[in-house]
Amino acid sequence: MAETNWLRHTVRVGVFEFRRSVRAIWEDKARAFLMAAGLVFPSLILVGFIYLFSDAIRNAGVVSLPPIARGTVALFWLFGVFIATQRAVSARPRIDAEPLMLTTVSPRTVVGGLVLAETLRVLAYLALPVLVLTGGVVYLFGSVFSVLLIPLAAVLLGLTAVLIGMVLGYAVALLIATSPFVARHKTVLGGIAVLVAMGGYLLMTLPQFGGIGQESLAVLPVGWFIDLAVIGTPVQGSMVRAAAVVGGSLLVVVGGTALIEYEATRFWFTDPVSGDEGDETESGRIASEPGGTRAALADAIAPAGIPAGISQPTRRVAQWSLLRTRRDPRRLNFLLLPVVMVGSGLISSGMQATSPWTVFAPASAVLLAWMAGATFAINPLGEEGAVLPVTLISISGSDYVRGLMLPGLLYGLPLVALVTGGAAIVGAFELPVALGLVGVGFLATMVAITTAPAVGIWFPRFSAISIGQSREVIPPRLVTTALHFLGVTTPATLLAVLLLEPRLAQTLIAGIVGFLPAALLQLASGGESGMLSDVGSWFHALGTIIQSSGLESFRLTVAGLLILSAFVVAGISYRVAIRRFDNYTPPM
Amino acid sequence: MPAIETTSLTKHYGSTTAVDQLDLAVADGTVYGFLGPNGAGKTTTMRMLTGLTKPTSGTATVAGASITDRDSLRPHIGYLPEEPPLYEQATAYEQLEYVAGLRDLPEQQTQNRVDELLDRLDLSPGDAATRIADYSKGMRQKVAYVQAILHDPDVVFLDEPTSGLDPRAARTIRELISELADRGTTVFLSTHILPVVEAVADTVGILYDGRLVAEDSPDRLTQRAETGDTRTLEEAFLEITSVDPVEDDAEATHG
Repeated sequence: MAETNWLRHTVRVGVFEFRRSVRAIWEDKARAFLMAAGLVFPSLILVGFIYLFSDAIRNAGVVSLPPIARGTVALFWLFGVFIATQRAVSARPRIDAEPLMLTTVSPRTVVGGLVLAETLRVLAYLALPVLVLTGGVVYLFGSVFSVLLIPLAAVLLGLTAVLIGMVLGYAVALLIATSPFVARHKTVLGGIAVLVAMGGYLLMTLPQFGGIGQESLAVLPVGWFIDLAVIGTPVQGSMVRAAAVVGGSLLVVVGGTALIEYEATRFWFTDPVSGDEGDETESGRIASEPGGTRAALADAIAPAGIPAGISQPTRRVAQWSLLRTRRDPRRLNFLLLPVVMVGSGLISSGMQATSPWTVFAPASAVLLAWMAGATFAINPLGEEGAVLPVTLISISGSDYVRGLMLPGLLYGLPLVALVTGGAAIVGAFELPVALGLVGVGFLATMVAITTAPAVGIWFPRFSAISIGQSREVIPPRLVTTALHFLGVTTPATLLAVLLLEPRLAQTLIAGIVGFLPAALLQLASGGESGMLSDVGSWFHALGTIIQSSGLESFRLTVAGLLILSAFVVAGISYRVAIRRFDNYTPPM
Repeated sequence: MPAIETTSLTKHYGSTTAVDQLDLAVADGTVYGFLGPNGAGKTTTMRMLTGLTKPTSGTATVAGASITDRDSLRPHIGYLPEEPPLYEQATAYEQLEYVAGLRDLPEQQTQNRVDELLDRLDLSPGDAATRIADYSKGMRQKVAYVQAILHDPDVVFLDEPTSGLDPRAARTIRELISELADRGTTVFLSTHILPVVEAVADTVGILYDGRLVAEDSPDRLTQRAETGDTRTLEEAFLEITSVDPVEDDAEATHG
């Protein structure tokens, strides 16, 4: 049951939640800029494409809608469902100001509001590209239907993806809240689910891998949104499918909302089971440290552990860092973004070249190394939360920073070496190259581990990245993640390329260091002689020298410089982190 | 009919009993001081009475509505939990306008009431137009209090309403609680600040280990039955909550 006027209240809740999201994003200028850039650039490319190929598109005549188009839309929809599910499970199963909302309006109102807010967020992302596409189609074909039907198809696509994602997300959240087994193993089960989802995505996008392409998804009704969007254009879709997708969407809206209401109501008013094995600790299974003292932290992180020889403050910070990661794996969501962005591109190009293993070893040496550093220490002060003042007056900077680095050194470093080495062997690299890749991974991990506390302490995040995540999860700032990611992966990638494709590395460096600045300066000078032109010539000469230098000497020089810089950066970062911690003044 | 009535209200979390066979009857238009040490089950009781947590067994009504019928319950109650339920990105004005809208309160009347209440709590229009993220703990508490009583509920549940407030604001809250009761609102007040309870409560209930171990007016609770001399409410509270309820129960059974 719901209160009278629940529909009006739903709109109010949805709009209010959406406005809060916008404000949260607006307050994080770097994030807002990146998001805006992510929307504007593809839209500009689309505008350019439509403008350049307008004649060719118009002259193509009537074409029937290819299966790959439906398959691509279906894949896009499935990706949307994955994101919505993941958000519902990890970030938004509970509502902000829960006691207020649940004593003020009905669960149906809250659910409706959350669905509306999430749909508005999706549509905000889609608005500009959809607008450009609609304008382009109208410009190309003079189709007045498209003014209505393309946005309608986008709205229905977004809404149904959000609804199905939330149905699945709340089902998972409810399972975690009611099943002790799932609650206890949610990290492992969640990891498996993500791997399965990513595996499915790769199967569809990389036909070389499993022989299944996006066309296979064309049979799914969720790909039929495009049949609706192309009505009135020379692209011939199916009217039956277009009508079916509209009717089906309406069914999803009604059924999905009812299901989410049922699940969310049960979830919000259920006492969640504990995932901790509390009975064991109560029955005296807490381990003892040398000297017979209780070891609750050591017991909690078992079977992982920190060697006893390490000083107690450092050991405690390391243990707490491990425990925090284990108990709150949602805080690691930020790792997925750059890994998926860069990783999928890498795998895609590698697949097209030879086999997946040829890129897996260098990708592991670069990406896994970054993750090993970022996992434990990229937002240490923010994660301390309200405890930060106590931490600052309880421990020295050197003990604290060493404690943050320790889990990465103990677990990240061997893992990177093992995975990179294993992948290199399976990838049939020659032994020296395999060893070189392990070395790259080792060095990159060292840099990632030592720089993470420095960057994290320098740019801490104390508030949530967006609404709904604020209760427990405090991810690092986007700028912190970006700085650390680029700072670690750029030189590591260069080292890997130097090892595997030295000629390519030489060309790249000559271009980036010499020819590109030279070209830009020449453009800026307008072809006239002067200081800009002289500096441009100097850069051009530098590019030529790099390009024409002997490959082996170039390789040794650049690799030597990179390795030396890695040690210097690691040392400086370590000291900077300590000094910053020792002098840190927490915000009021 | 009492404003709040519970019969054998019980809540178990696994093998732990948070609230055990609670029987309460709070008269209409009175202030009920709900005391108890940390972990006694006060917040669980409040969450059950506001419909946020389902009881394991027993029944309860608030303003005549069953606590399991949340749709009937909601219009009658206001709730200020210990952690003020506010949105960091909103200003006080925006937050209160939003909540008032969800309760379909008339706009002009609500604005007047918001202005009046904020003024009484020394929250200036400038403060009220500032983001809640920039508020002190006391300012948040004030806004959350206004939010809880804005719709003039029949029963208002206040969990530590004076927490984080300066003496002046705490006194204003005490006065507002008394005024609420004078106007017929029933106030269910949980706090550790015993002078607040002593000043405003008509009846005091003491919860210990999930069970109601004492219930009376503050005057009677502070009088020793045996000697007739008086003690402070704090002394009474400490004496009552220093007895093991299980032992006490066994003694009563065998005695």
